[in-house]
Amino acid sequence: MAQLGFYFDNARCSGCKTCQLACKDYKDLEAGLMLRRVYLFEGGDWTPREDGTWTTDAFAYHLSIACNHCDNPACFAACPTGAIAKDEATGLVLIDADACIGCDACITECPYDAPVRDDARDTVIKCDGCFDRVNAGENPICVDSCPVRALDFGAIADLRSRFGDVAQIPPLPAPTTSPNLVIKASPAVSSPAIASGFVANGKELA
Amino acid sequence: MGTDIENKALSRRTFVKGASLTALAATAGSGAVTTLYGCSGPSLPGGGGKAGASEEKVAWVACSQTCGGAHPLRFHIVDGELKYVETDNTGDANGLQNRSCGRGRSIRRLINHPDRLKFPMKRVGARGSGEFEQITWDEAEELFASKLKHTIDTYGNEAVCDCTNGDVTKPSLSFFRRLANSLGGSLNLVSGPSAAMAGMASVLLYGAANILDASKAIEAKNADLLMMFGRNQSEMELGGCDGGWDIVQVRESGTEIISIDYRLNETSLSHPEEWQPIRTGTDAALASAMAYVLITEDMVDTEFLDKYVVGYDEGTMPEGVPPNTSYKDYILGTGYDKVPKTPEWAAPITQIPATRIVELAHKLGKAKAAFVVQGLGPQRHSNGESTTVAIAALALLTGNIGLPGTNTGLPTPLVGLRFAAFPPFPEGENPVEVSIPFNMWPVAADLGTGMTATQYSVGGGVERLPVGIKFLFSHKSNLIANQTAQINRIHDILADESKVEFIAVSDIFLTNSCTYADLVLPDVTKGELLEVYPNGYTSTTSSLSFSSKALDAPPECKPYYDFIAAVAEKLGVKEAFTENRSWDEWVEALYEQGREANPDIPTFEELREMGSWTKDVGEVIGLSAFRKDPDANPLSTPSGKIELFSGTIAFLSSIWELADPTVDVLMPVPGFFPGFEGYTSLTEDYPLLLSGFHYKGRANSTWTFVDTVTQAFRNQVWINPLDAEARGIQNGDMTHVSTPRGTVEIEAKVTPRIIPGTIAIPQGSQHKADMFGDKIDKGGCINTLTSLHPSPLAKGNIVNSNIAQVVKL
Repeated sequence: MAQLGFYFDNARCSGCKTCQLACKDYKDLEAGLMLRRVYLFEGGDWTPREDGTWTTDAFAYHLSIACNHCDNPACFAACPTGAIAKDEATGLVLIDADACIGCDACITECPYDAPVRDDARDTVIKCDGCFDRVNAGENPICVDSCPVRALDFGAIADLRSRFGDVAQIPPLPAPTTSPNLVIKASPAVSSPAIASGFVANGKELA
Repeated sequence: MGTDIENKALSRRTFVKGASLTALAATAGSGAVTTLYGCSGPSLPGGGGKAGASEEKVAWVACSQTCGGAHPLRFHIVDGELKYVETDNTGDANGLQNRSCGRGRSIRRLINHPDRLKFPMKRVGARGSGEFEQITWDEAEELFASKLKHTIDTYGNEAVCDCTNGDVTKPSLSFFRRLANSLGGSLNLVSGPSAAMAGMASVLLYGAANILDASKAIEAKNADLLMMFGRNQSEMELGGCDGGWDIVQVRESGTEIISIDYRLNETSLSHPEEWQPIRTGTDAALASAMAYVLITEDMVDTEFLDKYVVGYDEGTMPEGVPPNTSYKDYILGTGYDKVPKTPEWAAPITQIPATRIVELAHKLGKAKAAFVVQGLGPQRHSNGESTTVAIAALALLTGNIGLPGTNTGLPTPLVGLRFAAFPPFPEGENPVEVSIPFNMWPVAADLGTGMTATQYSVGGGVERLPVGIKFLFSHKSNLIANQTAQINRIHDILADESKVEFIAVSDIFLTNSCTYADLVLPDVTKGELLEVYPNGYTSTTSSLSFSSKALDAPPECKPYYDFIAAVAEKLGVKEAFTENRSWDEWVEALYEQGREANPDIPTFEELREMGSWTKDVGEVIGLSAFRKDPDANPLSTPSGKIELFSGTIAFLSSIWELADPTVDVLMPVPGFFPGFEGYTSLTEDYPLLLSGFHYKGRANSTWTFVDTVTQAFRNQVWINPLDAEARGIQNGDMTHVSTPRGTVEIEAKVTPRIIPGTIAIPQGSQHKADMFGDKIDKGGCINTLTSLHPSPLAKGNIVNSNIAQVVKL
C-alpha cells in the first residue's frame, strides 16, 4: 500500500478558496459545511515615527487544510462504532455513514477539525480524499482546481522526497497523529512577528 | 445566530493557540471496536452526492460573470440537471491550463438559484421600492418598444442611453445599441466605468494608438525588479493562466518584488517583505520623491529622455511654453509650486519614512531591468490622471521602456485574442455624435441641458447636452443603483420620474438596480445559451472558451437577443437587427469571421469538442518598436514622442471647468495633489480615508446572491487595529461607516494588513436599504459612500477618494 497525502505550497497560495469551493460543489455541501478550510493567519504591529510615518512587521498567509488521512487518526481512535477506517490500498481515512451514530466523538478529537456534522444527511462527514476520483486515477477535485498549482496529492513518501517533511506551520497544532501532509512554508512563516499571529477569518471557517 | 458556528469558531481558536488538543495515545483504542484498516466506502460520494448515477453528460460552458475572464467549465449533467463542475483539465497542468476561480466552481448554485428572475415584471410601487407585478413577454416587448419610440419621437435619440458594461469579453453587450442604431442611435457613453483617468492620461502620454502597448505581466520574469503600484493581480486575475499564476512564476524566477499599496493585498500575501504600505491616494507623492532622488543622485537615463521624451527638462520642451514648466522643474521645485519633492516632503504625505523612499529609488535606479506597473486603483482617485503619469514617469526616468524585463509603467494589457480581431457582435454605426463620460450618466439624467461640455467633457461638438437621459436601459451590469457612485443621489434623481421617464433592466437576479426599473426582463445565463468567449484576464495567452447550451433555462426566461429581436419586430426593424439570423447562427458566423483574422484557431466544431483553446502570445514588450526605431515607429502623440509635458493638458487647462478649483488640478506635467477628499480634507467628523478595492469574492456585484460564496468571502470594512481600538471596535463587530454621502452597515475586519488612518471596503456588495426611511445600507455597498465628483481631465469617477468615519454599533 502507498499511503496517500496532500502537499500544500504556502508560498503560492493567495487564499482564493477555489479548492474549498470546488470541493463544496463536488460534494454538494451547503454554506457552512466545508471539508477543506482555508485559514487566514495574520499578525504584526505598527510603529509610529515622529515624522508622521509608519513602519510595520505585519504579515499574513493562508493555509488550506482538509483531512490529513493520518497514520494514527484520532477520529478512528475515538469512534465507538468502528465507522471509521483507513482504506488499505490508499491509506485514506473514511467514514461509513451507515455505521456512524452521530456521536461527534471524532469531531471532538480530530486536531484538524476534519470531521463535521452534516445535519441534512444526519451523519458526520469528512474529506475522503475524493476516494472515487482517486480510484479512477484522478486527483482529488481540490488539487486539480488550484489556479496557482499550490496543491498536490500522491504517495506521501514521494511528496516528502520532493518537498521535505514540514507538516506544521501556525496555526496548526504540533503533529500528534502522523498526518500525511507536506507543507512548503512561505517567507511569512519566518516573520519576526509570527508569535502575534491570529486566525483572522474565523467566521469563514464553519 | 448559529451556536454551532460559534462553538466551532471557539474550538478552532483554541486550536489556533497551538495547544495540543489531542492526546492521541490516550484515546487510541479506548472506544474503538475495529481495526485501523478496513474496507469502509467513501464517506461522501462526489458528483453532487450521486456518483454512479446513469447517463452523465459533460459539456463545456464558459463562466464569464462580469469579471473579464471567461474560464472554461466542464458541466457534469445528469438527467438534465447540473451536478457539479470541473474546469480546464486539458494539456499540461503546469502549462496554459485555463483554470477557473472558486466563484466559477460555484456556478451550479448561481444557475439553480431559487431567487432567479423567472418572468417579466412591471413596476407598481415607487422606484426603489421593489414592488412589481408579473406581465407577459408580449406586454413587456410592447411597453419597451412604445417607450423607446415615444422617447425618440419626443426628445430625439440623444435621450436614449444604454448603461451597460460589466463584462468586456461578452459578445452580447450591444444588442440594444444595435437596435437603437437602426432607429437613429443613442447617447454615447465613453471611457467605460473602470479606467477613465488612466485611459485619458495614457492617451496623452503615449498616444491613443499606443495605450494598450504595454508589456505582458509575465515579462517581469526578465526583470530584476518588479515595482507595483496598487496592483493586485492575485485577487483580480484569479484564473489558471492569468495574472495570479504569472506573479507566482515571476517570483519563483527570482525577480525582486515591491508591492506599494495601502493594503497587504493577496498578491504579496505570504511575502510580507514585498509590501510597502502607503497612505491611499498618495502614490504620486511617492513617485515624485523617488524621481527627486533619481534626478539629484544622477540615476536618470538622460540619453533615453532626450531621444524619446518631451518635457523632462528645458532641453526637450515644446516651443512657446513658459520657462520653468518642465517635469524636472516641478520635481526640483524650480517651477510650478516651487516645492522640491524631497523624500522628507513626501514622508508625511505618504506615511513612508524618507530613508525608505530613498531606498526604493535606489532599488529602481540600480535595477538593470525594472518592470514598473500600476493597477487601476491609484487612478481611481481625485486627480487620478496625474497619478497615472507620475507612476509611469519612473519607468521613463530610468529608461525602462521597450526593453526585455520592462513595462510602460501602465497597467499590463489584457492581450490575446480579445484584441486580435475576434469580432464582437456588430453594433453598427451610431448616428448620434454626442457623448458623455461613462460614469457621468447620472449627471446627464439629473442636469440634462445643464451638463456642459467644459465641465463634464460632453463630446460631439456641442456646448451642452442637448437633452437629458429619458430612456435608460441596462443589461446585467447592476450599474443603475449599485455599481455607480453615490447611490443616494442616484435614488433622488431616478425617483423624479420627470427626469428619466423609463428604465428597463435585464438581469438574472433582482439586483438593486432592478428595483429602480419600470420593466424587469429575466435573461438566461451561462450554459443556457450558445456562446464563444475570448478569455479576458490573461496577458499571457490567447484563449477561447466554448460555451454550449447545455441546460434548459427556467421556462419564462428569455435570451436578451431574442427579446431585442422581438422589440425590433414591433418597431418594424427586425430584419435590420437580426439579418435573418438566429442567435446560434450569429455565434457561428462571428466565429468564422474571427477565424479568418486568426487562422490558427480551431474550427467551430473542433472548439466545441476541445472546450478550451489556449496559446502563448509570445513576446510582448510595450513600446519595443518605438524604442528600437522611434523615427520609423513614432507614437500617436502630437509630437510622436512620449509627452511627459502634455501640450493638450496645457491647452485644456485654459478652457476646462473644474468641479472644485481648490482641489482639482490640471497641470501639463504629472504631480501630486491631495485632491477632493484626500488626506488634507480630513475633519473631526470624518477623520479617516476610505478606499475601495476589487474583491476575490465577487466580480463587480455578481455572486452576491450565492451563499456559499458570500460565506467564504465576507463583506467587511478593513480597519487597522490602532484605529479600531480607538473606537472600541473588535474583529467581527458590526459598524456604521459614513461619508458625507451616506452610511453603510458592515462587519469590521480589524487587521494589521491596512495602514493606520485608511479604511477599505471591497466594492460590489449588493446595496440594501430602506430608501424611504433611514437609507442606511445594510448591504454594505461602497457606492453608498462614494461621490460623483468628476476627475479634472477625464471627468471619470474618483470612488477611491473619500473621507469617512467608523462607529461601533
